[in-house]
Formats: sequence, structure tokens, C-alpha cells
Amino acid sequence: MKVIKGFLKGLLYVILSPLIIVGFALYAVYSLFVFIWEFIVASIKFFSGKKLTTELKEDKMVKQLVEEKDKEYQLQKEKEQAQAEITPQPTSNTTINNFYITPDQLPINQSQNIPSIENNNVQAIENKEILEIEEQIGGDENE
Amino acid sequence: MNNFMFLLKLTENDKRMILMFVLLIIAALSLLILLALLIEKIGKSQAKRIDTLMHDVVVTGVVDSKKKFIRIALKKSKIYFYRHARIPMLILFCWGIATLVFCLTYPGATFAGLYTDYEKYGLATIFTIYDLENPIMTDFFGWFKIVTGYGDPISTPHFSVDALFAYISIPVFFVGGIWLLIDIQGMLARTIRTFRLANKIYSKTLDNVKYNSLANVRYHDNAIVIEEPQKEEKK
Repeated sequence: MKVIKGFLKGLLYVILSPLIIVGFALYAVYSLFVFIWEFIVASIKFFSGKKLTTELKEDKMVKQLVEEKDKEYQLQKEKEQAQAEITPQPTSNTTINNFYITPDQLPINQSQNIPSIENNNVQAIENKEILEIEEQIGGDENE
Repeated sequence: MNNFMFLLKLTENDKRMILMFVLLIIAALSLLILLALLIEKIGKSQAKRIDTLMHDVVVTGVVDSKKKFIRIALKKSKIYFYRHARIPMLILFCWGIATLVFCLTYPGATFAGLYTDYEKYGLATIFTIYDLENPIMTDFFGWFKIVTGYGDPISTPHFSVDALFAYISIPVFFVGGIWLLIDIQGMLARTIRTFRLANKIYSKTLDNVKYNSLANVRYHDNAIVIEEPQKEEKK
């Protein structure tokens, strides 16, 4: 079917070829005038130190837009990096003044008011309390 | 009736001649059709260049209207044509100057003679030339006379030193001419594609739009509220 369509299209071109040739000849004359005009423009630009290219002022606007977007992106990236450095990383270990204590080591004495230590809230504990806890741990081991 | 009785009198040779004639016509037609389709294919590939030239300005929104698109695309197409047609135009210009100088300096030389003169300075010296003004005519089934041959050739192929200019300049002319025609065809193809693209990219259609009056209704604070669509700021 495609072959037949192509053949018929070609036949149409052959039948209309005189009109097409006349039209093309007229366009060729027009294109010669276009060439002469562009030659004059190129000569003027050459002597004023410029070049005749397909890069028009709209393409320069595109370049400017792209550069601005690049700068914005770079600034955004730098901001994110700076933000990442300032914020501290949270830990999930239980610490008491740099001593890691498992839950079973903690003294189970309901009368004692042992300060609770949360994962993200490292509270300062007085030295007296630490000594008391150490004594209790030491006592349990001896038993 | 008598004119159609000839079909019964056709010899085998006559039938072969008719078949050859028909096959020749079909072959010539097929060649022309293939040539036309080839030219169309080349034109389509040349037209794609406008996509490369206009892609960035369209995609970034710098060109935002059909009129602007056509103006900028045609300008770029003309500059592109100029930059590519410089070499063939230079070739044709040099050929023109050289031919003018030759015709002015060689005694009896003419522009047409560069092609048709078969004795001294023309390209025809390297071809067999027949007397086209006195052909051999034969009856075609009694209807009319057709040309069936020519007599002895009036010139056989021979090399002529005076024709050296024709041997070099005429191929150069054809190279430059065909190159320029291809560039002109390219510009024509880009122009056609420019108008097609402008209609395609910047045309607005309501084919897939469906009006729904409930689309702007919202339930807010125990009440049904109809929101007004936000008006776009005019540029």
C-alpha cells in the first residue's frame, strides 16, 4: 500500500512538474536577491568587526537565562551544604557523661530518684550521683 | 473501421516494437517518479535543520508567538543559506568571469558555441554529432511520420587543444550550479517547515478541553463554596 501511495505521489509530482519548475525558478531568483542582500549585510558587519551568524539577540537572551539558572542552582547547592554542616547529627546511644550503661546495669531502686536520660537529651549529672551508681554496680558484682 | 483492421495485420516484429515502446515509456516514467521522490526526501532532511536552529529559543520561551517564530526562523534560514551558498556562488562567479574573458579573446567564440561547437573550441568535440536537421523519417502505421534515425555522423569524437577551456569550465559550471540549486532547495524546504511548525507549536485547540461547572466547587468550613478561577496576569 505504501509503495502504491509513493508511486502515485511521484506520479503527481511528475504531472505537476512544469508548475513546480516554474515556482522553483521564481524562488531561485528570489534567493539570489537574498544572497546579495546578506552579502551586503555581512560586508558591513565585517568592516565593523562583527560576524554574520545565526546567533541572534534571542539566542543571547537564552544564554543569559541559562547562566542565571546555573548561578541560582550553584547558590542553592552552597546553601544546602552550609545547612548540613551547622545542624548536629542526633545519636541513638544512651550515655551518661561518656559512660555507656546498659539498662540492666542501672540500679532498680524505686526509692532512688534516678534521673532519666533520653536518647536525644544528654543531661549533665553531678559527680556525687555517678559515684553512688558506681558503688551500687560494684556491690552487685561482688554479690 | 479500416484503420482498426491493421491490428489483425500486425507482424511479430511490429508487436515487439509496440511492447518496447510501452516499456520505454514506463521505464522513463518510473525514473522520473523515483527522482521526484528522492528530491522530496532530501528536502525533508534539509528542512529538519530549522528545528536545530530554533530549538533553544522555543523551549526556553524566548519566542512566544507565531509571528515572532516565523520572523526569527526565516531570518536564521536566510543567514544559513548565505553561509552555505558562498562557495558555489564564488565558483559560478569565477566561471562567469573566465567565460566572459574567453569569449572576448578567442576569435569567433560565443557562449552557446562553448557547448555546441564540434570543430574547434566547444565541448561537442568529444561527442558524436549527427545532422539533426535532416533525419530519416518513417511512416508509423500510416498515421504519421516519426524520426527513426539519422544519417552518417558529421563529427566523430576527437580531442582539441582549443576546447580545453570548455572541457574544464563546463563541468565546473555544473558542479557549482547543482550545489547552488541544492542550497536553494534547502532554503525552500526550511521555509515550508517554518510555517508548518509555527501553526503546530503555537496553535491552541479546544479538542481535549471539557467544561465542568463543578470543578471549582469546594467544601470548606461546613459550607459549599464556589471558588472563582484565578485570573492570569496579562503580559
